[in-house]
Amino acid sequence: MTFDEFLAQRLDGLLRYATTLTCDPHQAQDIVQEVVLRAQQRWSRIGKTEQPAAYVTRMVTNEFLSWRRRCRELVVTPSAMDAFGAVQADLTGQVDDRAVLLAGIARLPRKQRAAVVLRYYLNRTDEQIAEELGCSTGTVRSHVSRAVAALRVELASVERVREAL
Amino acid sequence: MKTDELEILVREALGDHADRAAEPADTIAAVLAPRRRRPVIAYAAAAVVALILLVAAPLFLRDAEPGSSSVGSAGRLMVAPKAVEFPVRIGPTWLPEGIKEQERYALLDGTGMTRSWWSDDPQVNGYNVNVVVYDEYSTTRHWLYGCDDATEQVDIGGKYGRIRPPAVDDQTTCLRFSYEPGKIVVVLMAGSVNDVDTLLRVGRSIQPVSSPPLVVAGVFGELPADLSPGFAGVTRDVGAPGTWLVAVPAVGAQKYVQVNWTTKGPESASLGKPKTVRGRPALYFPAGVRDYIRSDELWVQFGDHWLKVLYHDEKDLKGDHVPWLLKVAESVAVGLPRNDWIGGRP
Repeated sequence: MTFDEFLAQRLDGLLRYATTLTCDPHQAQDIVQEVVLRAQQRWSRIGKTEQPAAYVTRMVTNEFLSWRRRCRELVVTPSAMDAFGAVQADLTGQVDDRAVLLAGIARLPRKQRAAVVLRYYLNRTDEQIAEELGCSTGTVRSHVSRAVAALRVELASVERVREAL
Repeated sequence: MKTDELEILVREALGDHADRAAEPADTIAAVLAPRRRRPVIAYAAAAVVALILLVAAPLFLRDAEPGSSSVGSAGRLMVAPKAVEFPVRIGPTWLPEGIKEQERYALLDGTGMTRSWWSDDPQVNGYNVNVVVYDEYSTTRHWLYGCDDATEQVDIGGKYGRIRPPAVDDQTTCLRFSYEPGKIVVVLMAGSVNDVDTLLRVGRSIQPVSSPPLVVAGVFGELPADLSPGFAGVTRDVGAPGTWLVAVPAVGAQKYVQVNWTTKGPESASLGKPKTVRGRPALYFPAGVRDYIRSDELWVQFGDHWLKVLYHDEKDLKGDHVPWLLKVAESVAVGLPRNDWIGGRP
């Protein structure tokens, strides 16, 4: 597969994956752009691997984790939060569970978020996630379970508000 | 809330996140920009841009169906490969009233094509006419209807032909004749019992025609080792056109992989098991989950379009075909180029 064929087939998926990781399409675009440029320079090697797409996806994951580290803050930009809708303001009406989860996922710590995205978005197994994140399967299960618990709490709190109203 | 329900919600929420992703075109432009700054490879950059435009072009040449939505509203589509044209050289010049051309499919080796006409109105139980033209020595013609059981001799404008009249248990009728040395024509008709006269009239009207070609934009990526791309076509299914590709074995028909690109979604979505494919929401239906689902199916939603992948293995109906469904869905590229013959008459 040539680099251009790879771009034509996989760029859309990489952007979507990066957007779920960052919860911000602009940051996702920056990450993917950096990764794709690096992949282009190394394509003679990457293109010969068994699964170039998996390799570049992993580059995106690593870039997300390191990029977030460079920023030193786990901030989802205000514009990105705006896009999640008025979850906190609209307590008088029917608050969409999915919108609550959107905001909840954006607030998860980066490794938990990556684990959740790999599990529920890319359908990866614990072993595959562990390899991607460079940790043990036990840590993966812990990340996913804590993330799901946090999201469940978010949903429950909205449910309580609904009941109170 | 049960864990399963929460997980489904999480998948949906992640899908919503993904839907906000930027268009690939911006990133492609950004990636290519540094190349342009290097004169040595400026031509290569131009070639890549041209290639991207070329492969993306079929997406913008979608059939202009009345009432159909725009390309934009379909969401971002996958980048389709270059469209391939299959010309039509001979065909019927007379057909019964009330039917329009709705479907064509061609053998990918170019040795045969089937064209089908039926009524736009599903309430009208009119004629269904199919005309098959293939090379007599085609090695893949077994994928086309051959009317091989026709035995009754007829004259088709001075050519020797055979027909199979309708029977009590089969109300279709067919005609088979050699249009010219090496070129076989089959006319298959259904919808009116004992109407051999109409069948013969269609057959006798076949001659060189000037018809727009069948245009297919689709290419498989990964496939099981024993399958290879066999035929492809465009059909107007439930009013809107769609593309389909089929990968078949070299011998036999017990196993195949079929891909459809269509606006029609699954009929029993609630029975589907949620998956994520190419970063998009997808549903998996195992064979037998409904009487009419005889093969494992995977449906991937792209805005208002669906990519349906079907895996059928007669010898292994209960096997785990999910890995291959996912691989095929992840790697196939398919689009719907403009096909001007849709809705036409002869």
